[in-house]
Amino acid sequence: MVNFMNKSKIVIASFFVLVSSCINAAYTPSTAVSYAVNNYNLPYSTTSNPFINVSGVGGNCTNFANQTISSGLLGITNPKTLNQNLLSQSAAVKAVQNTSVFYKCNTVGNTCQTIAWRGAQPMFTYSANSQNLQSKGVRLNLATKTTLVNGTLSPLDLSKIRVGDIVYLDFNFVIGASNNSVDHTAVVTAVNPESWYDVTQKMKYNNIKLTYQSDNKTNRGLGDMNAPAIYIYRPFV
Amino acid sequence: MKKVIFTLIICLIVLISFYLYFKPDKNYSLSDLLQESGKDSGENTTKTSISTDSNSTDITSQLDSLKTFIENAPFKQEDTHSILAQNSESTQKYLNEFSNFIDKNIMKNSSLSLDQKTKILWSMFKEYDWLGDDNAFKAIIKGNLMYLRNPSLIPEITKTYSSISSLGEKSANSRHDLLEILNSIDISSQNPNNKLVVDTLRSELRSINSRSEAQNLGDMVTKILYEYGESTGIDVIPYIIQAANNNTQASLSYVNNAFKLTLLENNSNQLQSLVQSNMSQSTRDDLNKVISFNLKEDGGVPISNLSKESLSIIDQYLDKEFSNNPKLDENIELKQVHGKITSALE
Repeated sequence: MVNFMNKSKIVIASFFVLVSSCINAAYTPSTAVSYAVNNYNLPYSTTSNPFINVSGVGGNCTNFANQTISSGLLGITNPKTLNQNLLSQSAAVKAVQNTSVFYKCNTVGNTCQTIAWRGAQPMFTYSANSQNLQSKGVRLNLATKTTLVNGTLSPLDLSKIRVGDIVYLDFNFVIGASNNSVDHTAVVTAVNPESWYDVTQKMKYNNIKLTYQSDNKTNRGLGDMNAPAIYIYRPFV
Repeated sequence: MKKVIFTLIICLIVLISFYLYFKPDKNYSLSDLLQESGKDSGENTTKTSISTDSNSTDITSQLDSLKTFIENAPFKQEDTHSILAQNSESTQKYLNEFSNFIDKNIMKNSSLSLDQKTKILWSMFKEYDWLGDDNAFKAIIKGNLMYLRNPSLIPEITKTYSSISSLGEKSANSRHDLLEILNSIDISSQNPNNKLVVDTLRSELRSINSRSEAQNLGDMVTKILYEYGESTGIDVIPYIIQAANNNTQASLSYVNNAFKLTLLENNSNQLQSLVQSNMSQSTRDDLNKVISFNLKEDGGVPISNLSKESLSIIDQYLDKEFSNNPKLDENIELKQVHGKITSALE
């Protein structure tokens, strides 16, 4: 009897391994970039982008960045298809989402999508803590950030930034303040080589190109964002 | 006495230098830029009044209501930020009401045609006296113009673009906005105005001067030029390379984008056209830098994504480069990329 139960456990465990290996989710930056640059300028409507419009509650920057991450995870570049997939909560979707960042229905509310889906600071907090999560789902690795060294913020290590990375910007960072929070989320959609002529920090930063919503923009240089504190994260499953 | 005068003069020079270095950049609205470009070219260009430019009562009343909405805001338009979260909650609320007002009265107004909607928003965008370099109201108008995706706006955009491009750096942000509106319009190969875009952007490639201007505009100009070139059957690669040869500050941006565009589409004909172009030595150096930057181990374009035809073209180009230029042997990164391409072809 014990032997039979052990065999059953092995069979069940093998089944789960088989299912999880079939899902085989990974973050594909080129797909995410394609989603961002082709859809950043679409209005929120059932015919073009059916995701919920949260411009009335802080703006769509993080909402759009999370659509982009999901696009890179699920390999879908069309907003309508991506939305339908997320609403279906299929096994593939469940493999890349978790209780902290999900999107389940097209109305605003914490049961339809988490606050990390909608807000820059909650998503940033999720990103920073995601490596310690015990549950499955998307995680984000810190690629580079502006770090406080001897009372000043050190610049980003630009060589660490890749297309498809997620950027969090704090426009009013105060050194020593305990209540600093990020204000904006964007997607890195191009990384260009540095020229001999890029003599200032701003010019070096401008080789990193961002796409985002709120004010809908593409190909905006990171340097032109004029944010003192910047954090770059890379999604993975 | 002489020492005092000398010291005073030095202090004055230092103060003026500090002022010039730290003074905030002047904000230029599109209407200001158009007026200035008119003066520069000796034309008698005056700001067109929105109301007289519009021949329909509907359009005029909509324009007036938009202007009133902005003028009645309990804050200055120049104090707003285009990224919503950078504004106070009360400002965000008012900006959201402005968005909803446009959505209800213009975008979803069934009594207005697409062209009428476009005319209202374009008139506001182009002719309203926008203040501040990050104006949220202007960004909302631009966003809605992008949503309309109206191809009949192409001649207006290209004309406005050409008028302000001679102003250089000071018109760069306005040109970026115009490129974004243009970029939102779906390209139809049947549209006779496609040639206007190609002509305008070819000229733009030549008129970009500084490195920062090239950084701000180069990516979008080359991308849109490339796409419209494809739709009109015009090979734009020679124009891009010629512009790169003539401007070393912009060359890296132009060559990088042309190279990536041909690779992303695996367009071997355009890639062949690029590597066989009449490049100056500095443009050739930039192309070599671009190849190693994009195709290196953790570069932006995985070698595995490239077709055999594309790989073969790059391989032959690099074979020739390494045999013609012995100094390239010191370029370890490019040698590694070349090795990987050769392996991928085996």
